[in-house]
Amino acid sequence: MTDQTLTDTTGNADTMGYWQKVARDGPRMGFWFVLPTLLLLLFIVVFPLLMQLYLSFTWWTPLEGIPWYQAWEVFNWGENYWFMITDPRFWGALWRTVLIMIVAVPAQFFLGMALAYLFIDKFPGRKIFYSIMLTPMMIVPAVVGLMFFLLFQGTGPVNDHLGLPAEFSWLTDVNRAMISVIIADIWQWTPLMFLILLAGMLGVPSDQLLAAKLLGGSNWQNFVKIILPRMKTVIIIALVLRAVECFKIFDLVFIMTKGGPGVQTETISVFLYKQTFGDLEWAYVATIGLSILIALSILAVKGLSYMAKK
Amino acid sequence: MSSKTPNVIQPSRREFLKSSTATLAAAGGMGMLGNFMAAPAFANGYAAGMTGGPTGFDGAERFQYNNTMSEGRAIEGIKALREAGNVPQKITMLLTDGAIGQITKPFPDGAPSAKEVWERETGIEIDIIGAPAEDIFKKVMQDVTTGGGSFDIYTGPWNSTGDLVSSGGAVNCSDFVTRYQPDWGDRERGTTTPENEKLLYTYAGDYYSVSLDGDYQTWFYLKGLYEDPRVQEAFLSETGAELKTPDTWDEVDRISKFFTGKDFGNGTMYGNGNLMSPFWGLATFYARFASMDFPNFHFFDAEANPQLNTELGIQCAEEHVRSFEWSPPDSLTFTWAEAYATMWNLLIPHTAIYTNLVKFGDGFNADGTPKSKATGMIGSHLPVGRRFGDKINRRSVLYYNITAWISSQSSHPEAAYLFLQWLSSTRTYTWMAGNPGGYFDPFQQANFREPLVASTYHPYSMETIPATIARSVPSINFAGQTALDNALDEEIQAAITGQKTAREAMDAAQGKWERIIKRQRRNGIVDAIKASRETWPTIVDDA
Amino acid sequence: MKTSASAMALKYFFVLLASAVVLYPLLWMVTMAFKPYPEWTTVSGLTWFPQNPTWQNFEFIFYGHAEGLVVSLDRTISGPLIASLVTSICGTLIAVVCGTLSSYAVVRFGLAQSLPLSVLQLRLFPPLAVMIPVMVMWAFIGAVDTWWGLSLIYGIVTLPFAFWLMKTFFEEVPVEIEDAARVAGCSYWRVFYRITLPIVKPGLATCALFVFILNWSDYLLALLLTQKEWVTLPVYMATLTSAMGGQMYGMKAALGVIAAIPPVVFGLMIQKHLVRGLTFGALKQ
Repeated sequence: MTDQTLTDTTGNADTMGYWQKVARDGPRMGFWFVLPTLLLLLFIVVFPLLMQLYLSFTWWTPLEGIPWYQAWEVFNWGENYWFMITDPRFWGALWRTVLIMIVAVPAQFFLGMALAYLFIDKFPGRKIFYSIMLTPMMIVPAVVGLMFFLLFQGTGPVNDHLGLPAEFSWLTDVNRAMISVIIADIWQWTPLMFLILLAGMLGVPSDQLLAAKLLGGSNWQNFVKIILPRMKTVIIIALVLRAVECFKIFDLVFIMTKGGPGVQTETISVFLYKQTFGDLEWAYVATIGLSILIALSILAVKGLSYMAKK
Repeated sequence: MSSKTPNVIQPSRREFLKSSTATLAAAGGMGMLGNFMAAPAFANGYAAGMTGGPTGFDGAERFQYNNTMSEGRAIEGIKALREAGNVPQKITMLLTDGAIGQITKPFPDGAPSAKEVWERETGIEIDIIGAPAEDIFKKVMQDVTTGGGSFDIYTGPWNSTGDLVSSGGAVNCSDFVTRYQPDWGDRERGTTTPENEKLLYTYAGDYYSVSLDGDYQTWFYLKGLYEDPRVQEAFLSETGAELKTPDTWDEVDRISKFFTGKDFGNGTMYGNGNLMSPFWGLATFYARFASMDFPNFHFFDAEANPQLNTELGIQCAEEHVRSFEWSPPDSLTFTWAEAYATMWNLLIPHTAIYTNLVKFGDGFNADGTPKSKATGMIGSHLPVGRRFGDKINRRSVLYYNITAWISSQSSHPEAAYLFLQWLSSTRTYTWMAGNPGGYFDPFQQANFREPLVASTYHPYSMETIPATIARSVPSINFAGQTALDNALDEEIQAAITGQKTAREAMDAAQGKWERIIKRQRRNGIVDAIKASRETWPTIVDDA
Repeated sequence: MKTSASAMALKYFFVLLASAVVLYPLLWMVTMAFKPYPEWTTVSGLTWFPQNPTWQNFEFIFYGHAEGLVVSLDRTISGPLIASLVTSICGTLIAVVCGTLSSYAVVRFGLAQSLPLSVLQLRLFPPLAVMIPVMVMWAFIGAVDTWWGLSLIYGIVTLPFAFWLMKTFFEEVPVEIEDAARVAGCSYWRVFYRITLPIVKPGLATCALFVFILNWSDYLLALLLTQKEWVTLPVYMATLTSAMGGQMYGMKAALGVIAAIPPVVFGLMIQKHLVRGLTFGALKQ
């Protein structure tokens, strides 16, 4: 192709004809475009779903001494599902995951919003500070976990700088362990909120802002009345994105506390990890995994259709 | 060692007299003599009659061997396999990361490393992959369950042998053992008793595991501090008793309480140095648990029912939880290493812990600097127990204990076995146990007679460790162990951090244990529990 | 916007405060990387800056031993570093190629309208909820502990981001351009390859870097799907423990510093475009 064709883009072309052709050839052509993704999807979805469904109705663990495909020998009529419903450890882990989500995500949102507001207009040094603000989300989460593990030692720098005694433990205290994990998560992901929200704010057309200012509104009024309403989609996306990723939280918790003390910071992912490789309860993990998949799928479909309606 | 303690060697000697393996005795006796006889060095560096082993340092002949010895038979075995064209290029070993140096670092000066000796004599390369001690068994199960087949040799906690065997991940080595005759249970050089050999190397009657460690929790204390007149005076005036090494858990707790918050010139002290953290702290709990009744308080009764929420079980949990008051801050995040550091910095008076505490922290570095502030101050004493009339049931526990298994996915199990036999036989292992590059600890009789080991573990340990071994109960080691330990561990942690009372925690743990046993019943867990009860020591001391 | 001096001072106060909070943990890690063993723990007093700064930690992870340390490593950082790079890059290629092709088909040919949702769902689930079957599958096809096995799973889990990001870029390419080329007699493939792709080239670069950072950050998948040859940096970091000192914090911090370099550099390079990837094009700048 040459530049000539590129510049020759005036409306001479018969658009209808093009779309008719697409309608005729598109599916055939498009098939090859979609194929790799489709294969990957099928690959990662079909077998795992079937295997989990199968295993979830058995007792099977790797200690059983038979391969997993012979698990029907220890069929148990869905007892795993009953056990899951009555397992306080599972619900505890689920609740803690949700707790982290409902504390950390709003905190990230408000901090991110406040920071974005600071960065709306230009000031000397803005670019440097902007870059500094973004660094935490670039650090590998496992490394962040290590950093906060070190910071929150009783004899570590946090206690030292806050003038707290070494006995004021963070990672091994029933309540403060959770707080430590949440602080680490907020530290790492507030920048993401900040980034998205700032972009959303800057996306509001400046002539509208100018008009509002001419009408004599204060900065705050302009913010609430003009900027915020226009950021709605961006805000929803930012919140959903963080909530989804937060639900999967593993690296930070696993490296900082391993779910401890006791099970005080055990999230769903950490719980599943311990069940898979510690207790080796594979059938039970399959039961929970499948249940989570189904529940989240329903949530996602409902949520999307709700948003589409709006 | 002031109390009258039966000689730990004795039972084995009596056994030995009964048995008719006189030839073994002769060989063993010669070996002992060889220990202290300077042998002329030959051109190849080997002493007279020796065909292999480390060379290049004074005393190297003590670790050399020929084909009448366990190591030599392993090397001969490899040669035979090589002629049959059945040896691999390399053997891949998954190893706890802190032990790697013991195989790869030369020791002492002028010596090769164990790895170099093996590679020189067999031409088979050893490829070592490290993994953290707490998580290594997860890595093992990952390889077993996915059929990854990445390793010829797994290592991990001895406790997990049952889980690994049940999952079909380990090779039954009984045939190899018959064929190559390792000296693991040698009455003169090997394990302290035949029972001990059974415990460490076999599972359900067959050979599966190879012990590379001696993780019998041993008591160490700051002798220098205990003997300080200021400290003694303060202790006497505060408690009305004389400060001496404890014999019972009550005395341990009293001393712990005394030291907490005191400053004798090295900063504010904490009284309890024992491991309390998840995973590692279980050893402390089990040791306390075992001595609750006379002569033993088993984890399970004779019908394999857990005894966690019995009155004694709950009392044990309460005492364990209370002792946390006297522990250093952050002790719930400690692994053994951080716990060592508290003693090295003179922050705790005593601890029952892995024996390499003194290997890394007492003595002097090559450049003459002391290894830690505690250099020269550490002593060791017998395990503590409880007084029953005029007797004390001193108990310790065997927990973790790095153990090697041959992967059932290995394409050359026999060669892998021979490497393990070579590594774990008394000569090579004794040489390696002295090496400060890693944490394999001494446990064989030959280890305790070896000057090199004594120089790194110090003479005071050479007596207490074998005495501790004789009084150690096995922690849980049958299929379902990981689940059982995790369940109990979580409840203990819940009690320590105040989420539950000790009673609630023990009730919950009891329930979980019962469920696990019910689930594992078809895999023979009940028989395994009963068999395990038989392996507990019955030795008691005069009060 | 006019701002008074006091408002400006207030603004700087908050900006500086935020920067301090951001830098505090980072600084601790960076200084830790240069501290010798006695200064790792705070038992003997806390110091911000290394009293005796040393390269020992870096030396140790690169060479397996260092002056004055009795411990040694059998495996140095070079293997994991290469593994991280290879698998992150290959995973990125898979995600970007598949994501680009399929999102183009969805945008231009109106095909597979349920694909966007299905792809999105892929990102929704905690990986551990499906990890057992995945591990069994990976073992079955011999993909455990191989570069392509890890790359494949990386490609799959980051596909949603690549797909949605490229979708927003394609939606902005005017149909008329392609149309003209089409009329000039080009095949669909040529139109896509020669016309559309060059137009979205900046978007493609952004997408690739973004996906690379995601892959580079992974800990869990590598933990479960590698054993020895293709262990990545974060997994390798967890194995830095010695018999004597326990966790080797100095070495871990040094490794953390090294692991942070590529994402920070790339991240700063694409920070302008990052937003679009994260908002799925909700705001068209």
